[in-house]
Amino acid sequence: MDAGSMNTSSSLKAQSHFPLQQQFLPRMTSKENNKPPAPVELIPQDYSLHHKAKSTKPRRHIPQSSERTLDAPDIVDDFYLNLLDWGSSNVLAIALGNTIYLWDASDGSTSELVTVDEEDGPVTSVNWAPDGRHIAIGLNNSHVQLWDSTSNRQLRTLSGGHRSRVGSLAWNNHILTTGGMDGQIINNDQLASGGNDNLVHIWDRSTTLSNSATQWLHRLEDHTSAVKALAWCPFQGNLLATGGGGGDRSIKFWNTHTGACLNSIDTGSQVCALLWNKNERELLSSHGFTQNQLAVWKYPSMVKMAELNGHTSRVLYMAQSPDGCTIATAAGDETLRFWNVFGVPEMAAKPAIKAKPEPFFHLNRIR
Amino acid sequence: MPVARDRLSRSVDIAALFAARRQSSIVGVYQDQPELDMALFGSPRPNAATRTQTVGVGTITARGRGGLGTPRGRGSRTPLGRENIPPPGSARRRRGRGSNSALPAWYPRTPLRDVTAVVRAIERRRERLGGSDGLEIRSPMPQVRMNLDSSEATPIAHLEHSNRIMSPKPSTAVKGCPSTIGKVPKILQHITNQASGDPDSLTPQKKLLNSIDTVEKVVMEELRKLKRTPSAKKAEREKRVRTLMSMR
Repeated sequence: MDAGSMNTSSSLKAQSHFPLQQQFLPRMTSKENNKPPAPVELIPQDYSLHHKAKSTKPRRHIPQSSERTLDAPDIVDDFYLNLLDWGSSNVLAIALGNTIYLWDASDGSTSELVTVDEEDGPVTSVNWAPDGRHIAIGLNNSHVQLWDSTSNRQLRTLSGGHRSRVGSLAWNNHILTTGGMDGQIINNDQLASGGNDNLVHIWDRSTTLSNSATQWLHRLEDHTSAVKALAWCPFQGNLLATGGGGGDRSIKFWNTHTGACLNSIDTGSQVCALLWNKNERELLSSHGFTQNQLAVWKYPSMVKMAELNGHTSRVLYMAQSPDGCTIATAAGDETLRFWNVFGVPEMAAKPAIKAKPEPFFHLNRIR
Repeated sequence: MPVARDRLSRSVDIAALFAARRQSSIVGVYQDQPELDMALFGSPRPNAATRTQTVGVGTITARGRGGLGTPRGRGSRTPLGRENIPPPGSARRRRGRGSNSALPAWYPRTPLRDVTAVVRAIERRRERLGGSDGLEIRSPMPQVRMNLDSSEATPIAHLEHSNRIMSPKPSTAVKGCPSTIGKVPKILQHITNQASGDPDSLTPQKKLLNSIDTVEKVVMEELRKLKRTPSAKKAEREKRVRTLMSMR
């Protein structure tokens, strides 16, 4: 039927490429030992916490309840929207109905960025640019607005691209990719997209610019429900984690070079969002029907380390603080909760002096 | 809201702004946005039929193919889409209102206000009341409403206080011989009357445990008495005979 054409690109994740942070595939075996990993097990210099000896690391306690709860009235309880994002300037943006609020995590102050007109709204997606200052907003009327949060001014409106609401936005350096309910993706560049058609597409610049019949690099068909949860692994290049909706309930891992599925685990409930721990090898998943839980998994063993409850409705929206330690989740129960899942900021701030430098780190690498 | 044109920076009261906006939206103007509602929520509105928006309407009805033919009715805000439909049989405990909010309806809502203490108090209270009695959160709330302006701490104190007052009597249901059940309420009344002598020295839990012990003793006594009656003895003998005969 026309079900195929109605595919919602409900989720987009762009993998940003910065020079000097190209990643080799780390050797998995060395991770299991207690000695400091060999230099070949490579993680870019930002993530060199792995290099400190595991035997001296204190056990981390994951609190079972949220640290803080904020009121989030009028939040839209829709699986296909992305209403929460935490910018690199440590400001959280959340869309409640037609209004975008900014919450400064450093002092807890709230401000309103913009309220769109009733005919244009509600806001359907929110995404900070990497600079932490500019923010892109997708609207139900298919427009995308670009705002400067420091001056509270609107810079641009992108219209005419999509024909239906813009449910998903992703920045890759200065390129903004937008996904619409009409199934279009515009300005794709090294992108993973998940849709209501149960498919995940990997788009690569080389193939999209070619004249081949299929513009995608890989089409991943294993999920049996809509795919909204997507997350690129920060410590292993070209590793993508995807999560399936209510009928699928699984988390799958993919090598986006080859398109192969590396692992699949059943979580028992609808997977709404996925986030990787920037400092440890862990994955966090947020769920909807029916348990509304957060789950922390060890990677690659996929042993469940913790299960966190608190939300009384699907945990649809999740974002990570810039320091990587705190997770913010929002749900249809109209609360915005903060969880110290990935450790306390003091632990993460340890200097990386002990890191053994990788060989050839001063040179650009070819992947 | 009209934006001021001067460049003076004014501190914005988010709470007042939000409250004012909510007021106006409650009063006004739903018939101006049939497209929006159709596109987002799918609930049929009188004006929507006359609109011929190609993408919006067509898309929604096509996406609702998962057995969503029945209209949701006005005021229902469940968005369409296969993933927004809960699986059949999942317990959805609606609190009798439209929204699924964690906060009670009377609580003043302010975007991003810290409500940690309130939510925790509500969760604790819900745990304490348990699933057996269907006590709503509503009843002690009128007390709390008056103290909301002062601080967050006082509502919690009130909740705890009212909780203690309302904790139910130890009403353990004793399962035993049918003949003893009729006597149990009398036994319990007797116990609670006895215990009312020194209520302050014992916590509710201790009181409950004591009463359970007493009830057990009394019931066992009753059982033994029953067993000694001639009819019970006869029945037991007959049972033993039957067993032996079956073994022949």
